[in-house]
Formats: sequence, C-alpha cells, structure tokens
Amino acid sequence: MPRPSERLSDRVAGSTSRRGFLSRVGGGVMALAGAKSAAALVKPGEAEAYHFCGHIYTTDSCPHPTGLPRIDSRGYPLRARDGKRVDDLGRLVDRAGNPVDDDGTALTDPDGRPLSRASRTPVCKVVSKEFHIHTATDGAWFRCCGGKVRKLVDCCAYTSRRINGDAALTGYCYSGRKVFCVMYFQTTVPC
Amino acid sequence: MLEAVLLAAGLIAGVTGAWSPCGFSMVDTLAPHGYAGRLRTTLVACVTFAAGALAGGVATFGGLALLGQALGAGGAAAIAVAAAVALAAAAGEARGTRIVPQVRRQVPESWRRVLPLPLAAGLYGVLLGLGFTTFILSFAVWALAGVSVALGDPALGLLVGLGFGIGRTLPVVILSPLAGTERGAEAHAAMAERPAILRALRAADAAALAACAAVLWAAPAHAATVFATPATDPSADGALVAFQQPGAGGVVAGPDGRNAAPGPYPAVGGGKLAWIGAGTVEVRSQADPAYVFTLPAAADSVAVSDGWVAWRAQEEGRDALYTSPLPPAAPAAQRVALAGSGSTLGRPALAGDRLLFHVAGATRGRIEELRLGSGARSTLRSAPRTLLLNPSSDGRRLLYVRSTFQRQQLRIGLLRRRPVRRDRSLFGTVPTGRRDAGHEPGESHHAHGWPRKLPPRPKPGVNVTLWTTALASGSAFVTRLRQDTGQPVRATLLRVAR
Repeated sequence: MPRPSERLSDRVAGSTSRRGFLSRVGGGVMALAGAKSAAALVKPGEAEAYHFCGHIYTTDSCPHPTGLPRIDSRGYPLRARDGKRVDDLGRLVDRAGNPVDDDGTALTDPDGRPLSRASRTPVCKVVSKEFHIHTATDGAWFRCCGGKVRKLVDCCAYTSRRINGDAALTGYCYSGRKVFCVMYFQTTVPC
Repeated sequence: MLEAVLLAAGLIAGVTGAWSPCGFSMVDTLAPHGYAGRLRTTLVACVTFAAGALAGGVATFGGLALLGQALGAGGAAAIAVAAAVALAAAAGEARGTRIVPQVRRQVPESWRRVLPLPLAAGLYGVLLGLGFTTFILSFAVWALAGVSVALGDPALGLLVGLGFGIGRTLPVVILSPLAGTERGAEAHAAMAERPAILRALRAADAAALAACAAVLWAAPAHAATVFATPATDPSADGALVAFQQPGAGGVVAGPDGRNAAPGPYPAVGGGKLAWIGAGTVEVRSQADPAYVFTLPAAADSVAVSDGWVAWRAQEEGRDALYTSPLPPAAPAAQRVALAGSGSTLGRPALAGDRLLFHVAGATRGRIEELRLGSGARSTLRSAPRTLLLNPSSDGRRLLYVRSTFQRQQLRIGLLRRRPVRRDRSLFGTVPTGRRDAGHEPGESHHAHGWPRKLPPRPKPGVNVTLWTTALASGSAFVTRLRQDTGQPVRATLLRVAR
C-alpha cells in the first residue's frame, strides 16, 4: 500500500501534467508530501530515484525480461547492468539473436548446435500485448545518471490505470495518453 | 528429501512393530539363555534374523512399488493420493487410534523347536519383514504400502523396505543378547509396562508420515531424478529409452540394462530402432533381424515409428525435415518442412503417422503437427514471446518444454490443438536468463502493486536450458543443458513422474 504522503502526491500529480507538475510544485507540496520525496521532485542535476536513477515518481517499470527496464534507442530490451542485448527470455543474445553466455560464447546443445533463437520484442510493445492496451512511446526527459545522460521514456496508453493498478499520470505522454509504465535509454553522453 | 523421509518412516514403522506379540516373542526366542543356549548362537541368529527382515521388507515394499509401476502409477494424481493416505495415517497415529484392519496372525511357534535357531530366526525375520504376515502396530505400515504402490518407483519401494527391515531388526538384535541380564530385563519390562514408549513411537510415526505427505505434496515441482549423465536427445518406446551420450555414442536402456546402440543419436519407436550413420539414416526392427533399411541422408537428428522415419537436415543453412515411409517406397524421402527466414525447426518426433516438431519463430514459438498420411498440417500449441521446444508424444499426450523469462517448464497435455495454459506442468526450473534486482544499486523498489512476484533466477554465470524430451508410460524425460560461463555444455537426462 502506498504511504499516505505518496497517495496524496499521486492525487496531486494525477490532476496535471508531469511537466507542469514539476514546474509548479513548491513548498506547499513539499510540506504535504514529505520533505524527502518532494525534494527529489525538484532537485536538479544527479537525479534521485524511486527504483532507478532519473525516475522520480512511483510508476513502476514496464515488464522487462531482466527486470530493470533498460532499452536501446529502438525500444528493444537491454540488460541494465552492461547494456547487452537480451531476448524475450532474458537470455543474452548476439547480433543475430542467438543466445550467448556472459563471455559471448554461443549457448549450444552438446553437439555444438546453437540453441533455438527466441523472439525479441520492444518493451512497450510487449506491454500492449500483455495488458491488451494500445501503447505508444511519446515524449521523454533526460537526466544525468552515473555521469552519463539518461533518457527517461514513458510507455503511454489511453488508460486511467497504470501498471501499479492505481491512477495513471500524464507524465511525458501527450495526445491524452497517460503513463502506463516507465523505461530508460542510457546514452554514452557524459554529464 | 523424499528418499530421506520415506526411509525414516519405514524405519520408525519397523521399530514400532517390535511392540507386537511376535516382536516380544523374538526377543525371548533369540535370547542366549533360551533356545540358543549360548551367546554365540544368539549373535548368529541375530544376523540371520536381520537378513530375513531386510529381505522381507524389500520384498513387500519393493514388490508393491513394482505393482504400482506395472499399473502405471507415479502420476500427479497418484502422488496426491499417496500424500492424502500418508496424512490420514499420520492423523491416526497421532491420535493413537486402534489399528484397523489388523492382521491377527503370528509366526509359527514350532520353528524354534524343530529348526536350527539361526535358520528359524532367518525365517522369522522374513515373516516379520514382510509386514503383513503378523500383527501390525502402526498405520504407517498400511500407509507406506499405499505410498509404494502410488509412487510406482521400485527404487523408492526398496528404500522403504530397507528402512522397515532395519526397524524390525533393531529392537530384536539389541535386546536379545541382553536378555537374562539386569539391563535386558529392565528394557524388556519397560517395553511391556510403559505405554508411553509406544505412544511416543506412534507420535514419531505420525511425524514421519506427515513429513512424507508434505514432501509428496511438493513433489510435482521437484520430482526430477537423474536418469543418465552425460546424456541428451531421448526417445521412448514402451520400456525402452534411447539417448545419446555426448562424446561416446548411443545407448538403449531397457529392462535388461543399458546397452550401446548400434550407432549414434539412436531413436526408438513402434518397435523400430533408428540411428544416424555416415551420411545415412539406419533403421532396424527390434524384433526382426532381417528388417534392415538404409536411407541416404545427412541428418543431425532422427525419429522413428512403426510406419515412418523422420530426420532433420541442413539445407543452405536452414533446418529442413524429411520423412520416409517404412519400408521405404519410391520416392524414398520427402521434404515436409523447411524453416522460414529467422526461424528454426526442432528435432522431429513421431507418434504413429503424426510428425511433431517445434518452430522457433521471430515473434512466437509453435508446436506443429503434420499427418504424414494425409499431409494435413496444424499448429498444436502457440505462444508469443515464448519458446515451445522439442515435443514428444506417446500417441495420446503431448510433452514439450515451455520457456519464458519467468520460468522453464516441462508441460504435458492432450495431443490436440489447445492453449498452452491448459497443459499441466510436470517439472519446472529457473529461466535461462538471469534477471536483476529490479532496482539499481543504492535505490529501493517501492511496493506499489507491481511487480506482483519476482521470478526465480539462476546463479550468476549459469545458463540452464530444458531441451529435448521423450514420453514413456509412467515417466517423462527431459534433457537439462547447463553451460557455465567459459565451460563446455553439460547435458543431463532427467526423469520425471507423469
């Protein structure tokens, strides 16, 4: 269950857009929602986070085969730890989609024949299939995380509910869509 | 775990049996001051008694397990029944309920008078070890008999029998040599006059049976046992299981043990045996030595049934499946499936004239069926973002591996088109890929309703893949591939009760 301060913040945030929300939140919300979380909302530079750097709100990660919702520039899943490609089963894969181990050696049967390739699907598209909603990746926001610029990406849908099961927020979404779940793309740009 | 609790339950049930008329009689019979006449004879008689009790226990519970195996027990329903029986017996033992049904028979008294004592002791041991030939002092005996039948696993039956035999033996061989001494008399009096001891033993019976029930309830997810290692690519035909030992060759395992197959990558089915030769597929009958066919084919896996042989080959880097009727007719071989761009075809399996294989596609996994007689092709199972791997069948049921980022499962269901979710999971293990914690180091994941439950994950650097399958009566087989980072792949053939 969300804490009372978080539920209140949810209601406040749910009534407006995140950009507007971020620009308008100030001392009043800070006092109501608790100094720590509200300070996170307005803190510049290295971003505080709820469960990954840069993500400043409580909407949870999109379902991702390895957990943290790191994606590449086209929305396909990457392993958060090192940015390596993973397939829909969470296996590391090479460029051709064949499963490999941590060293990049192909996973094979005892005869050396590569194991079957699995599908590799954009994370936000998986959300569409799994939750039977039409999803889109709309706007984004960039923050500095670990010395590199990180792009925070919302998986948006025409929905009043987010993946957590409670009210969805507008976030970086537009055209009336709201944030269903969140992802991120780690750039190599230093900050 | 199951082995340990069954052994313990058998042991305690056997010890409890000492509180029977026959148990008391044995202590007196084998005592040095009685029919033995001297301690040395007593010790020899104790040895023969122990041997007899062990033989009797093994005969009863091993035999019941063999009966269960012959009846096709060992499935999930039978295991559930076994757990329920164990639980009911545990309740009876905990309450100290009178044993019903009771066997009101005793061993023949005259044997100790007319036979040499070591021989008589051995025969008494057999009768007491058999369990159901004399008074029964615990519901555990009935329950373990039911469990042995329900599990249908001779190895487990043997274990229960050994435990029971040891339990039957211990009180007798400990107390008999002491009979006539002060300590022996005290122990005998305690057995006879302190009901708390028997109550405590029955409580221990109850605990052991409850543990059996708990382990049996949990068994379907952990019931895999190692059948062979290294081993891969199994196929089954009745009591025969054929598999490949990487680096060694083919093996055919049957009632008469494990024998080298005539060639590598053997497959059995419909009374036939096939294997991959040098640029050929070889087919033989298991019964008729004159049934010999050789088909030219550059195969990497093969399947056979009574009327067909199928194999997979590579064609310009793509998987292709070929079939030929048996005996071969012109044209001998026909290509029946070719992998599309970006997809792969699995190892073929045959159930009569039904060819089964998996298709790992760009967006979903499928299990396809091709009726070789009519040429009709259909998709039996399909699931997006999932691998459905290496099907096999006994003609009625379909066995395959389902692999997602959350779980790998060995699943079984009817051999017809239906959703994957309607099939039953026989065995499960961690996914091949390893997830992270769901949050970055130093951050915490606030519980806001999602994710509901994090899937299990393999150890770091370990890639486990459930792979090829085979379906036999009473058992399912699956190859488990384990590839540790920087190490060669290891293949283990697991057997799972159906």
